Amino acid sequence: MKETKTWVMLLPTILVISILFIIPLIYTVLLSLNFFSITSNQAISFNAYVDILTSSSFTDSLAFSLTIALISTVASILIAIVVSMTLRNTFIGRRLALFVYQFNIPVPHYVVGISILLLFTQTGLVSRWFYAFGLIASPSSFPVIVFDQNGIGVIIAFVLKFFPFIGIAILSLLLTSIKDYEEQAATLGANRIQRFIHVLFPMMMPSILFSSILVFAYAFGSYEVPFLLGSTYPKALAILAYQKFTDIDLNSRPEAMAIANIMTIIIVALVILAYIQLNTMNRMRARQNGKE
Amino acid sequence: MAKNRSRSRIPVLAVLYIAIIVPIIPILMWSFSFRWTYPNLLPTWSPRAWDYVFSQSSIISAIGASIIVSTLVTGLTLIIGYPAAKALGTREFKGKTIVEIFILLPAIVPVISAVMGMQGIYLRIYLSDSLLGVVLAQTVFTLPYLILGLAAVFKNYNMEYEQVASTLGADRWRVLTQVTVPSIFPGLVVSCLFAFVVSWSQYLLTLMIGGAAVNTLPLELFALMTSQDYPVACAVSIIFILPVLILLGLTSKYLTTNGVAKGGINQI
Repeated sequence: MKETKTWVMLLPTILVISILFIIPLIYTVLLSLNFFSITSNQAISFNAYVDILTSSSFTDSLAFSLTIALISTVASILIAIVVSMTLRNTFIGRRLALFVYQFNIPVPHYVVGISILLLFTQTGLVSRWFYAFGLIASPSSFPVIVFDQNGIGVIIAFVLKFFPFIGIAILSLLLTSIKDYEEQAATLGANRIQRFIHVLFPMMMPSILFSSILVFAYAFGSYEVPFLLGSTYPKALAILAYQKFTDIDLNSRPEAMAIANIMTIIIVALVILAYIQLNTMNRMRARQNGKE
Repeated sequence: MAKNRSRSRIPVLAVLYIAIIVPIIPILMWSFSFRWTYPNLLPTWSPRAWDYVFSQSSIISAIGASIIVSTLVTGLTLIIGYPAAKALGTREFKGKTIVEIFILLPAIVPVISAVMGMQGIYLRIYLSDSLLGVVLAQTVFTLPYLILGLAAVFKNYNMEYEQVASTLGADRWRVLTQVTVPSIFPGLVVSCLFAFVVSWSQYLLTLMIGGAAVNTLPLELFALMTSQDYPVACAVSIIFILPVLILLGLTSKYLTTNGVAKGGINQI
């Protein structure tokens, strides 16, 4: 049996992604530069970018989306580490705990969003519980968690979705490859905190970095969750772009495309940085292994 | 030290259970409610929403459309992505990292960033407002999950069995069905499940590529949320996550022991 060439095996995937995804992205760039305009003779124009970058509604949205993505990613990582460290030991009821831990992974983000909406609006379920216990006198004294300017509701929904995703990656690592190293460190006299800082955490880093990038990108670009739970100002970037795209005024379309491209650039730059970081970590580990 | 651990375990477990189980409560209660005025702790119970869901033809046809779309997407993703996953998992070649980043792109570039241009291009090649267009568009976004998951499975796979089988005279088809597939089966199932779930929950992409022609369950759900019909929206949400949870129940043991989560991430 002759071996199939590598490029032949990769070709279908590369063709599909190129035609159905990369070409549309390039098309978006051309549209944002007014390339197909029939009204102006100018070849290309950066007006859409100038308009967008100087408008406070865009810069506020950019800050909003970046902040939300950063906070929900960091919070999810911390929770994921604590829960996974707990669930790696055997105890009664661990199987159920593992099932509960994985429960939200296949549940769509916006279904979690719907339950956050029903729980945390000022007339939501939690507000009713507070009222029943006499903690608040009326629904208006319940704190604004959903549709708020700080995006607290959006962050809660993201964290509930993300921490199991990052956590399962950490947990499966803890259950297999790391164990021997940790035992070795323990034999050499390292206490729990030293073992975590010098052995476990560095070994978890690649997993955490990779799953965090996926999670951060999702939170940064999500349309559905801010649609359900976000404030009217500042809007998440995806909402702002969609509204400009569907605006009756066709002139706002290049602006929508400009926002889309800025989002793409930010995310792709982050991923390339993360890959460089991952490669350095892998090389360092390979060198250390070589020494032993 | 053991005692110490169990003491810290209880609050962690409590937080975990509260975080996952409390959000299910309002969805269940609203789906059985008729009206639920403030500050009542319990709604006026009624099976109205469930009656409505099972009698409303638009919802039933949306369930059908979702099943058809996601099944086709998963199948197509597997056919296109399988060879690439095998190449990435079993071979070393020049430019591998670049290929990996390229394949990962649809999973990280926001849907909103890609979908505007996709709408324009798909319109030009007669793929918009059609089932085929939606299936192809979703396939792009499920490919990274399937390929990276399956590539990780192939990392722990011994190619020598295939060589032995073919030396003994097995043709390509027999090697695939009797050697390769059986030995990677659990990982294959989990990877396909990931692709199915990603497709099953697409909203914005289906809305903008399918137009009015393709009405899947997420579109129905967002219409209900926009009209603030919470009882029916919650009943639909439950129907929506049921098949996914059944699949999770069947495959959850693969997820932690030898599955995608571990391999997919270790691989890179």
